[in-house]
Parts: sequence; structure tokens; C-alpha cells
Amino acid sequence: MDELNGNQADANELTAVRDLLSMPGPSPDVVDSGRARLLGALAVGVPREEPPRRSRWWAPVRNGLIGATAAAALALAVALSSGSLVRISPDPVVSGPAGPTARQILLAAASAMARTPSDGAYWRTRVVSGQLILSPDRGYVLRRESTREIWLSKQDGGRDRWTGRYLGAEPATPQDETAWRAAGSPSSWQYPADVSGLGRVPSKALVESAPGEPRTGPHRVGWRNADGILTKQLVSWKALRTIPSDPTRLRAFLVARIAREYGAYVGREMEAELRESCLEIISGLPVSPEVRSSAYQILASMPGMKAEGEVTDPLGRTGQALSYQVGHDGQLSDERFVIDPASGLPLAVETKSATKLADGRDVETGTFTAYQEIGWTDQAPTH
Amino acid sequence: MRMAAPPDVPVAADDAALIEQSGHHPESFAVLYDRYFDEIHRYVAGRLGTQIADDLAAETFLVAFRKRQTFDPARGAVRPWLYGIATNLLAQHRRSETRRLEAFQRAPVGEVADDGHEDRVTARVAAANAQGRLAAALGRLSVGDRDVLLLVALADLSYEEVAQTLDIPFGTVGSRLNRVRKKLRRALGGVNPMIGGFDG
Repeated sequence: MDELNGNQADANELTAVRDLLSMPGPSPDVVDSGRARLLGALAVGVPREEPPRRSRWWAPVRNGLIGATAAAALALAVALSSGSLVRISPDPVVSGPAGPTARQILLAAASAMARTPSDGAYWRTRVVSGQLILSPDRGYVLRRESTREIWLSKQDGGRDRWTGRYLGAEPATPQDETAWRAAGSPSSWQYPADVSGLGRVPSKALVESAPGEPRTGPHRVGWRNADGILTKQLVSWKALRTIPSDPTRLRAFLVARIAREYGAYVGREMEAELRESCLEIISGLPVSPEVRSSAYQILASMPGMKAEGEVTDPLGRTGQALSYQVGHDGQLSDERFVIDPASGLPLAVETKSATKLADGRDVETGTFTAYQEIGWTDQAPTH
Repeated sequence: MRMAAPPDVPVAADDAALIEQSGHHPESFAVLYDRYFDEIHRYVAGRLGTQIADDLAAETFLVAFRKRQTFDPARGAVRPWLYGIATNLLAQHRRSETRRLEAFQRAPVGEVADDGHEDRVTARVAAANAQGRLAAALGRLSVGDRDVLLLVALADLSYEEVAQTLDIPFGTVGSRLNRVRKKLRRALGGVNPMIGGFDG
């Protein structure tokens, strides 16, 4: 539609008007209070489509059912300020044999998360990242893994440490192992320049089956290498402390931040960005349990998350899976987020896409990040 | 267009579906707030200043929620519908808009002398004058012309969206905009107003 807005050479007056009048976007406080006003209106805006023909004892029950989701959203708004979190009671209408809904899982995780330790000498995260990739000849699927642990000291940034290790590559399933043996059990794989369709593997990579040596060093890059909305900019403890812990304020903070990152026209990208920011908080930002609990509550209030039931994560742990779609470079793909409902901790984020081997067998390539440790600890790094 | 989905189904619901869902799930409406509050605020702030925008942008969504049954997907999209509501609310603040434009005619000349270089100072004074002339020209526009201009210049709406916002024929948008731009070009008189104090 842009071309309709006049040819560029002739757009000087419009630019001049824009430059004269434009103002910076709203502050997080303004976003927050506007949203609170709207939520207030939503609370009383329960539909009146059913004529109230039943006795007055029935009416609140009916409204309760119709407005259950609205009520949940509103309960969220007050949950943390009142200090008592939303407890999930079995809801015969929503759950039943199909299992808990995405919203129930997320709220349960929010509640469990708020009980995790809120302080310690170090913030520690340990993740295993993996890729499922096709062998260069498309004969079988390889699973490649590495691990990385980060210790951030609150007292003294000079004590920040990271340690990492390449864990090796191997055939992903027994079927893949058979194909690998048939191919002469190679111990390394040389990838071509064009790796399209093989999964996430660098062009011309030499993939080794043997694990590498553990490596360690001072952690310096902070969050600068990350590409999230939050971690792109937040680098200091001081900055991290400015993240609000109340769910509505956190939401406003994130929305304002995302809007600033994008310029004014976020539109439909907003939920995806908001979800990504919440996942970013949950899966490793060194903030208080309250902030991380609020991130779960925001996720619970958003459309687009679907409960997949109990699954096994890439490290063999069981958890509740939620799926949603993500867009990367204009392409939609399915992502799965696995949560341990007991602790509220995320277990893994996985993406998968279907593909075929050279012999026509249907397989999946993909990536995963599995979380082994996320949280505050008084332990010290041993290296 | 997607059908309205129950809240647990993984689709990025389109705007109109969210309004439809908000009949039974009012909280769906909050998603529209997240999508559009920032840009509606910028539009209103560009016309009335930040202070009024803080209130008026929030009010836009309250009005939209109250009037959500009147949204007709056959007549246009949600975004121009929201801009239409904001523009109607703006109409109650015409005097603030006029005052803001008058302030631009006085303000920028003051902050000229910081690097002291003669040519630069002259250029800045000229630019400041151009800004003043631009603000004056904006103040002289009819309400309908100004709405069209600022929906395009500030909100970056397409002609079609402007037509939906103001409920006027598509062709009228183009003719009003052409007229307005001619007036502004005359007012600017070929001086680039952007050498002045604004960081554009």
C-alpha cells in the first residue's frame, strides 16, 4: 500500500509534517495504566446475550462459566500484588479427559515458579543445545549436542565464568544407527557448501562424532550476543532490576520495549514478540522468581498456546508440552515448549520440521535447547 | 479471513476475529490493545501532544470496546476503525491542536546559537521560519483536509485505510491530499525545514 501514499520524490511535505509533529511513543507507565483501564472495562463487559431467565442463584454460576477466562485474566492482574497466587482448581468444564489446558499448565508453572529461591551468590544456567541434522548423503539422522554453563556473580562481575563442551554426534535412533553402520560407521562427516535441507548445520562444517575437550573461561560477553528483545539491551544488574515484577506492569514494560524496538508498527507481530520475551525471561534471565512467575502469567493470558499433554523432552525427562507457531524469515514453523509443572521450570524448547531421507524414509530435523539448571545458587563454580 | 477460534487453539487470530471472540471472551480485546495502543498513541500525540494522548489513546480502546458490536468487518479492517474512533475523539480537542501548532510557530527560533558558524545559523533561522510557516499552514487547513493529511503523514495509513477511517470515498482521499500538499509546498517555499533543531 505504500506506493499509494505518493511517489517518494514528491513526499517532502509529508516528511516535513511528520518531522515537525512526531512525538516519542508512550512510556511503559502509560501503556500500563491504559491497559488497566481497559481490563477494568472488560471485567464488567461480560456478555449479556443469554436472557436471565433462571433464578438469581444461577446467574453468577453462568456468568462464572462464560467469563471464566476473563476472570482468570483479571485474577492475574491482582495475583502478585496481593501476595497470594492463583491456585488451579480442577475445572470440570475445561479439563476432563483431555487433560489440562495450556492456560492451566502455565498458571500452575507460575505458581510453582514463585516458590523457587530468590537469591544466591550466583545465577547459574546450564543448557544442552542439540541439532537433528541429516548426514551429508541424506542417509540417516545425526544428533549433535553441546553443553554450556554460565555462572554470573552478583558481587563481582570479574568472577563470571562460563564452561562449555562439545558432546559429540551420533545416529539419532536405532534405525539411523543401522543406516550409519551400513555406511561404514564413519566417525566424522564433511558437509558441503550448500547445506539446505539438511537441518541446522554450518556450511562446510566438519562434524565429529567424538566429544571435544571441556573449555572454560571468564564470561565477558554478558547478554550482548543474544538476540532477544530483552537481552539485546539489558546488560547490567541494575538494568535487570528495572524489570517490573507485577504481571500487568511487566506486560506493559515488554510491550513498550518491543514497540520501541520495532518502531510504531508492530501490529500482529506483537504476540509472537511478547511470547518470545516471556520465554526469554523464564528460560534464563537472572531476575526474581516473581518476574519469572509473571512471565508465565502473561503467557497464560495470551492466545496461541496449545496443550500437547505429557511428553518426553530431549534429555528423557517427562513434562507438559505446549505448542505454538513461530515465524522466521516469513516461514511458519511449530515450536514446542516443555515445562516441569512441579517446579515450574522450563525443560526444553524444541523445533522440528519434517523431511525425507535419500531412501524416502520420513524423518525430522530440528533443534532443541534443554535446560538442566536455571536459578540462584550459593555453590561456587568448580573451575 | 480466519474463523473465530476458541482461546486455546494456536492461531495468531486476526483483528476482526479478536473482536468477534471478545463477545464471549472480553479479554481477547486486550490483544488489540497490545497490537495498536502504541501507534494510536503516536498518532494522537503528534496532533495533540503527549499529555492529552496518554488519556485519549486509552479512551480510544475503551470506546472501541463499548462499541465493538458496531464493528462491521465488511466495511473495513480494525486498524482504520480504531483510527476513526481516535479521530472522532480528537475532534473534541481542536483548540489544543491549534495551540500546539501556534507554539511551533514561536518556539524553534530560540535555540539557534550553539555552534556559532554563520552559514549554519542562517540556515537554521531559515529552517525555523520554514517550520513556523509549515505549522501556520497546518493550522489553516480545514478539519477534513487535516485529518487526511495527518492520517497519512503520522499514522502511515494507505488511501484505502484513510477512506475507511473517515468514512469518505477513496477518490476524495487522493484529491484532498493533493490539495493539501500543494498548499504546504507553497508555504514551505522550497526551504528544507529539517536543518532546524529537530532530530529528523
